[in-house]
Amino acid sequence: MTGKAPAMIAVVSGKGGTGKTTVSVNLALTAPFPVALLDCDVEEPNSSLTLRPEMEKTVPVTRPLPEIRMDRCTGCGACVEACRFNAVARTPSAPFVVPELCESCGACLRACPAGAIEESPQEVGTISEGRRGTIHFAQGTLHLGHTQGPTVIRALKRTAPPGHCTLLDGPPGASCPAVATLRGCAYALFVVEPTRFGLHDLEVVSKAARILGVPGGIVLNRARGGDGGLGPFAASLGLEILCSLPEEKRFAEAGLKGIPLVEAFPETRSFFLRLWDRLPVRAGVPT
Amino acid sequence: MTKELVVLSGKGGTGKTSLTACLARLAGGAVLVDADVDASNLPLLLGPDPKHREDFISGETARLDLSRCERCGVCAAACRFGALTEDPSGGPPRLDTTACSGCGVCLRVCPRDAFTLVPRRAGQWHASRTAFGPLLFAELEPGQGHSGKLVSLLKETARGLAEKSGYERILVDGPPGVGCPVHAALSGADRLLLVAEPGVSSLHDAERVLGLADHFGVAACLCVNKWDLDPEGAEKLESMARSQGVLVMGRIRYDPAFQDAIHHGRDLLVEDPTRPAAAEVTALWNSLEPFV
Repeated sequence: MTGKAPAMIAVVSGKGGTGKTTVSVNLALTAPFPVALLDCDVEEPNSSLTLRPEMEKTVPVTRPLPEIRMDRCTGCGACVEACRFNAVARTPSAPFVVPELCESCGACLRACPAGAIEESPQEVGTISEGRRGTIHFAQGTLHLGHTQGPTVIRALKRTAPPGHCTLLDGPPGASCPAVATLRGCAYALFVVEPTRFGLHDLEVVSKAARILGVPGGIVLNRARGGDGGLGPFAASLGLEILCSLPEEKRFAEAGLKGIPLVEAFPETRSFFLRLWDRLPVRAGVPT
Repeated sequence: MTKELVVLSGKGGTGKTSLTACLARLAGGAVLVDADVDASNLPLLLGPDPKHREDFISGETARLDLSRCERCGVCAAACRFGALTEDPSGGPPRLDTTACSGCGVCLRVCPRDAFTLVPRRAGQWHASRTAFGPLLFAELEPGQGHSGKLVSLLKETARGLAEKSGYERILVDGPPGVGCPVHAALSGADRLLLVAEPGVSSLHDAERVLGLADHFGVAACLCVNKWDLDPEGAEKLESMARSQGVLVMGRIRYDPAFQDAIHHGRDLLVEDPTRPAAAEVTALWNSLEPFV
């Protein structure tokens, strides 16, 4: 990591509901230096409900959507042929673009010999920014009915303030949105519930992180007794278990009410400070 | 006429898969689909007997013939997905197949025809048999996309199976979120069962899913799972649902026996049918049944 680019730590899990937001928010609140928290679960961003930042501004996220100008179109059909996603539909008059199928790749634009295709920005989501104390916060929200989650995630990551250690509260799953969150990160922090489902899904998402070249470690959540013998399994995935947060009903209740653990139970600060301590230096965390 | 029920949540971890397995048992036979192709967990509860496996080939990915590359950098500049990055030391560009969309722009712009598009193996899917009926599930290749298309494929296959074998119901265990695979899971469904847990996050996320269901014209029902962890939150969810014309179908209490069932690879109704939560699940099905 250079000094300029913000060091990004992606908090992911595979399985939903394991405590990514809990860990992200509480890490942000206990960081011993200025941090940024970016909510990359753009389909269902909800870290702001617990962090409660003062929001400052909201900007749209757009993607270029091609449109075929009837006055210039010669009906040659080159655009229809060029589109690999069947997003340009042929009609007896001029072809038209189906937005739901369009990937904004620009192939049709390049293929058109008559300069009949123009792109204009289509809004697919928003980015909202704010602060809580020294924590810089931003969240991406995908507009309902749209599918360009990764576009919103990429735009959100570009807002990371330079020089800040940046936590990304990631989405569940292991496909496009999780991959867009993980890509280019210095470290992946896997929040793992030690259940059959949790471990199965960890395997999938950790493979994705490995393919992307992002090293990682595990924080166990709702653990029953130490690391539950998961050390060897974790090691088989090339991951270290950094810390273990126990299962406690009062933690669940605070979480449901949107109260950060470190506020409801100040004694949990030491857990998150220890987690910061255990995050590898190569994640770019300033010492 | 086959009826299709899709189980969604918005927020992850609310209990969709655990409940779907129970409903599959109570329904006395249905075609089952695990639409959470990123992280498919329903097979872990149903012990499927595999019948058929197929590669999921979807779209294409670019391939670069290094011997033709003249390091002009035009492809990297043209790629809108960041799949081609220039090598600062002057070598050929690096091609990231997880970022590649298969659009073919690199083919168009390369002056040496160094690129080809090849079919993309994005995952695999399985048709299997379980005690409750056929189960269709899949795994995406790590780092690959097209989850929506894979879900659509599973559902289409399910419909064909249901018609051929005379099943009256298809139960779809959905993924979290509101993205592509959720669109595919909702498309053509007859009813949505929204499994939410009380709490600020779940409430917020549930509202988004209901909005999407509305967009797809799918009527919705609500079940509040783990309701006793936050009774006030449970009330809020049910009020929100009612205000949107969503049928409130019942509540299920938090019960660690659900996790025990998962650990043993089975559903709660067989893990411990004496649990009060088991009776609540049965009551849920009794309320739901007339609508599917």
